[in-house]
Amino acid sequence: MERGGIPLFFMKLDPKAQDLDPMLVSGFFTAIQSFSKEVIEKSSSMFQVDYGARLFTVFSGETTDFVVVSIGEWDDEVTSVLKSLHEEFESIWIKDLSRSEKDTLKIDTEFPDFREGIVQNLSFRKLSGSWVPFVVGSEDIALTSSMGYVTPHIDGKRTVSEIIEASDATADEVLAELTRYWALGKIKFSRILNKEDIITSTSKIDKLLQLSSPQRVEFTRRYPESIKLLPRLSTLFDSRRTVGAIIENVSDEYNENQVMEAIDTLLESGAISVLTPEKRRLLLMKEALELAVRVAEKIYTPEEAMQVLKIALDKVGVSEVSGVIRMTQDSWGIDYNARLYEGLDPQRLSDLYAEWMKLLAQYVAALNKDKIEKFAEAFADTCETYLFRRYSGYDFRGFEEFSFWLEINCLKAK
Amino acid sequence: MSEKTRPIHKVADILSRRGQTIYGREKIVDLCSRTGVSLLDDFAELGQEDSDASLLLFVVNYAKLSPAAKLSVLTLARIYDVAIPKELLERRRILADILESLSEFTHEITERLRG
Repeated sequence: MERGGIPLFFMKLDPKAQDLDPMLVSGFFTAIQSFSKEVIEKSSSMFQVDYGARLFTVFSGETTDFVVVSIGEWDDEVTSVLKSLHEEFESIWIKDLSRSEKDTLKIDTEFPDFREGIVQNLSFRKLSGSWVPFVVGSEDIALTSSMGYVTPHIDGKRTVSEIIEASDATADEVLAELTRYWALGKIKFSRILNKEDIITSTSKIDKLLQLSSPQRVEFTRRYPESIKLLPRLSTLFDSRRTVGAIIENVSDEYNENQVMEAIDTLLESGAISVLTPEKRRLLLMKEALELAVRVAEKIYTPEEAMQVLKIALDKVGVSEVSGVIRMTQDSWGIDYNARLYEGLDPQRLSDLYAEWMKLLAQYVAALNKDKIEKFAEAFADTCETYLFRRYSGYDFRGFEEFSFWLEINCLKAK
Repeated sequence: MSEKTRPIHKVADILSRRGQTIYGREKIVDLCSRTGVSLLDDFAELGQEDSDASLLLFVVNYAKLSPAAKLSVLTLARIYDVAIPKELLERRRILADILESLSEFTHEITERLRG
């Protein structure tokens, strides 16, 4: 993007990163610029900001900044590759563009040759064998390819594995070609969800439930099968259930294929989305708090557990956190709906994670120390049986801070 | 794989550093010598010589410091993708009714509860 955050080029290398868009990246970038101008202008040409869920790496060039968003640990080997791609972008692709040309760039598709270069230079997240590629638009992609191992086999039904099977080429060749088409925006994938993915509905689902809405009429016309499942599925998209749990829930009436197809069409139409890494971590914290309070109810008394929750909540000043915990005279509950986070940038989501962490820390700090070890033991076991089976290693990044805090609190018992 | 990126080394290294601030240096030094690891011997070359087996022993024994220490070990092991030793997986206190009520949110958890 240009200095100042105007996007010039955007490319996604991970088909599952559905939420990632140029606006999000540019919004994030403006945010860091506001508090660390010196870092960007003066010191080294590369710096990183770790938001826990995702790593933002920024390369500062002559006239542009290149932001790389990644998950997991940074591989030092890609640094030089990315630097040279950035140099190429500045010295070749945008060098002679006029102001008005820059303003009208189609940032998702412009510079196809450069995109191919990127695909060749970087190794991708492996495409999963169970994904189903389909052609976008009506353009005949076979004409644009010199190889064309896979084009006859892409029919929107066959999985990646089945295409490898059917093609004469090797698996590597097929995967390379599919990746290239995908990077160029010529194909997309369906069936990309895992059973561990967690689904949330967006405000668009309301229109699909309203009998008289034009959106529903259109959806019904295009996906007559999926609309039948919608009433049963809609309440299951609760920002907490996994895809696998949803399939199990309706298995008395629908088979896995039918459910996956409905989920795919709803995903494509934007009525539902998959929880992003940031939101998964927030969900983990919410569930950890719920586990903590419920375990405390057993180890202490329900009254004590609630009293302590009130004390901890009084110390939280952030409405995105305190506003989702429902407290009455004798009951409590957490609202898990992730719609609350619609439109928030990674910076804010990261702040909210810290707030949840604080709340959880306040909670265990306020528990009576006479039974804190018993509490910790039961909490660890419940975490192990529930949280650890549900979340990945990435989701847990940061959670160890809570655990160390609990260790300190256990020491106070002695 | 270099020493720095060995996952078990990372887990043990974090525990030894954080453990010092929680339990005091003496306790961690003692734990190191009991499990035969050199984590704290030389700050310039942390644990270069330690075998995976002795690092694992250190981690397992760290988990025995307190029930919360076990949670730290489980968490770090998950983050750095280290297989958790079986002896740490013995569950002593399962609050079955809490888990039962959560089972609807994750698939296949009912089987896990039985198993």
